[in-house]
Amino acid sequence: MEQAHLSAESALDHLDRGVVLFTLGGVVFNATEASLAGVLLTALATLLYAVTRNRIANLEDFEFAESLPSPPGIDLGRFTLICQWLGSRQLFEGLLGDLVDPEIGGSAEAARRHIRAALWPALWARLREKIQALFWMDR
Amino acid sequence: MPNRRERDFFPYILVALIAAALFFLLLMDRRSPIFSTPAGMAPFFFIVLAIAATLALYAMRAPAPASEQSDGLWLKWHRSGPIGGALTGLIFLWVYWAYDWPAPNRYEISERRVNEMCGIDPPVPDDLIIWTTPDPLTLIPGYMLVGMALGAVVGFFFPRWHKTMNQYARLTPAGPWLTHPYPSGLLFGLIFGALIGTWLCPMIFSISDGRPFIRLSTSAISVFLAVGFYLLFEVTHYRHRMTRGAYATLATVLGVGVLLTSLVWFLDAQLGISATAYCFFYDTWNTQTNELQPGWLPATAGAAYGAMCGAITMSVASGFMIIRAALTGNRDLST
Repeated sequence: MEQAHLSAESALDHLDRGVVLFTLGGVVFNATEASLAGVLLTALATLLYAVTRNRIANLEDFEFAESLPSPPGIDLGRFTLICQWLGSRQLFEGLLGDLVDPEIGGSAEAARRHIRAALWPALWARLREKIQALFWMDR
Repeated sequence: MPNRRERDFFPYILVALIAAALFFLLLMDRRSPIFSTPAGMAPFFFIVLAIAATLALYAMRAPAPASEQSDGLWLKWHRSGPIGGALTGLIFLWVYWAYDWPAPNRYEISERRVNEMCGIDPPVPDDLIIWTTPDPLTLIPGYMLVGMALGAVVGFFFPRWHKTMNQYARLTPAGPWLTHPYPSGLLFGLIFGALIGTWLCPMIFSISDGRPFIRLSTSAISVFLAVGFYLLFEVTHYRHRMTRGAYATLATVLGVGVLLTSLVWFLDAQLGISATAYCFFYDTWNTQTNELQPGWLPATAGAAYGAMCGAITMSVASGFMIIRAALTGNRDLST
């Protein structure tokens, strides 16, 4: 069972790499012929794939989130939704874990400020790492 | 490993919808190219297939929802014949526009090419040929109304037809196969399609406002896609009760629809049936008054055209009736 799960994950990684390469190809082919509609549709399809794929990767990772109490000042539902669709469980736990620090989670305002400042750069860094891994640049 | 029946198959339907949407996109691309070259289009294909693969994976992993979703308001509305018919009319017009409407890269069948296409001698002078093409948007009300009327005919007459067939089947030894919704629906589609086609095709042809002639393949694709969409939306209503057998029926019905449509498409492309049908109509055309002269030729061509559309429509629509009857035990086809 575990073996089947791992091989499915590995196949999906290859699919991700294929999508990135085909996106590059699609953008280049259409751009050389100045077909803006082609470039945009290819980019849109890739965006849709990325979001769907990430959500499916997180399918079982957020079941516990419903039972968590909301930290003061944080809209846990919205934060969970963003992490489910765009991030990961590690990112979710990491950012919530930061709030244990009295410097950060001491007041609602400080907690909000931290999440606001940390969430989007963390998502961006995750995307960058993923793209680097797909292009074998992480080795 | 969860039980197969506990899985939510809705994403499979999403996959089918995405595939159908992609098909529409390809049709539109044929009219006014979106992608620069086939090489520019191929990556898009791959990405859409990848989306379909991930959704199918989701379908395999996701647990079934705790409670069955109650009737969505639009599904209820969707189930009535006239509204389904109006939507069918809209999809029909969309494919017609994408596939047949004049465009630089399209081989058009219309009066503008009649002399060359039908080999008319002496040629019809240009001033007797209507050159202007109407705005496709102005056709929307007409197509929706005709679709609504046809949907009402199917919704009203088919349950009665099937009831009559059941009674007839009990009286004759050779009739049991007619009690099944599929052959009964197919026969209904052929007969009513031919009757409606005899009346509607010459009438539409005689309007002649410069629009191109609807190819046989366009009609087949439009009817299959429109009724297929309708079937998929209906099936979503029963998705938590769908069994493996019901999905097999769904796949068979859609497969038969695809085969019939492909057959029409192939014959049309290989034998040039649409151009022949156009010339067939044109033989009885009065170019002075822009009206069809009375005669059997256009009526016969209209009957064949209508029977083909009717057979595809009812082939797909009766599939839904089989699925619903199997799932709910409801043999009444009236709702």
